[in-house]
Amino acid sequence: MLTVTPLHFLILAFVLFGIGFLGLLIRRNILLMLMSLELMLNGINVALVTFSRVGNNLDGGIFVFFYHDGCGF
Amino acid sequence: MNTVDILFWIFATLSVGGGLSMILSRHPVSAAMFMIISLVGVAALFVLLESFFLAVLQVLVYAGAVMVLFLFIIMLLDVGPGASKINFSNWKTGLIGFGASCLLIFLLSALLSPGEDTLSFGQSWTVINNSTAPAPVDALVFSTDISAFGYALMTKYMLPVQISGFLLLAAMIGVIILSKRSGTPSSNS
Repeated sequence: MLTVTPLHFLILAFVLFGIGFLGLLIRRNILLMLMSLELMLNGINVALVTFSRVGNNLDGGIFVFFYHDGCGF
Repeated sequence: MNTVDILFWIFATLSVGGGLSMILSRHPVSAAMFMIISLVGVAALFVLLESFFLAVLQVLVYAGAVMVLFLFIIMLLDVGPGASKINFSNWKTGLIGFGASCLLIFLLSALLSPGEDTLSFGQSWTVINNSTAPAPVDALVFSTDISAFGYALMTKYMLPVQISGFLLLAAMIGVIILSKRSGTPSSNS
């Protein structure tokens, strides 16, 4: 349990996604809801990069590049 | 337990703690600051996953541009501490909805996974060979080299590059039209 496997990264991605989702539910201001949405996207980023590393290809990284850095504004 | 594991737990705690502090913070500016901490933690996790290019892009674009944009909007709209009221009125509905969505995600990942290839706690990382030779187009091999990334962008993912170029052009034209000052008769063109 102490050595880090890909499952640890995926659980962390799910926890980040869940925290962002919770923040999206409990906030009233639209700006803070947008920030919680960005946190959800970061959780998805972690999952995608983990799968890109485990599957030994670059497709996950390119997906992250497009919606996160290219059009993420 | 070697250095990588300790670093993973440190940066995981940083990003999750920053996220929790962000959604529970009292002022929008402190929410943005905690978000920046969380993003830097996620960038460090990208470095642990050997995607150095994405880690640097995360710091530059997300923590450097998007969060600064958020702070500018907070400044321009003068969002005060009263905006960060937490919606406790129907918290039971929110909790049931959150629990149902978590259950849905778990069920979907359990039912749709291929079975033999599911990740277990014992599975270790694949060994990557960092060759700079151009890979075959359909099967992109993971490498930490940026030229492999650029090669993939220019060969396999050329169509999304062009489409995002069109998207950005449309956004730029929209911004110019929306921010054009109306009522001034003189123009320098």
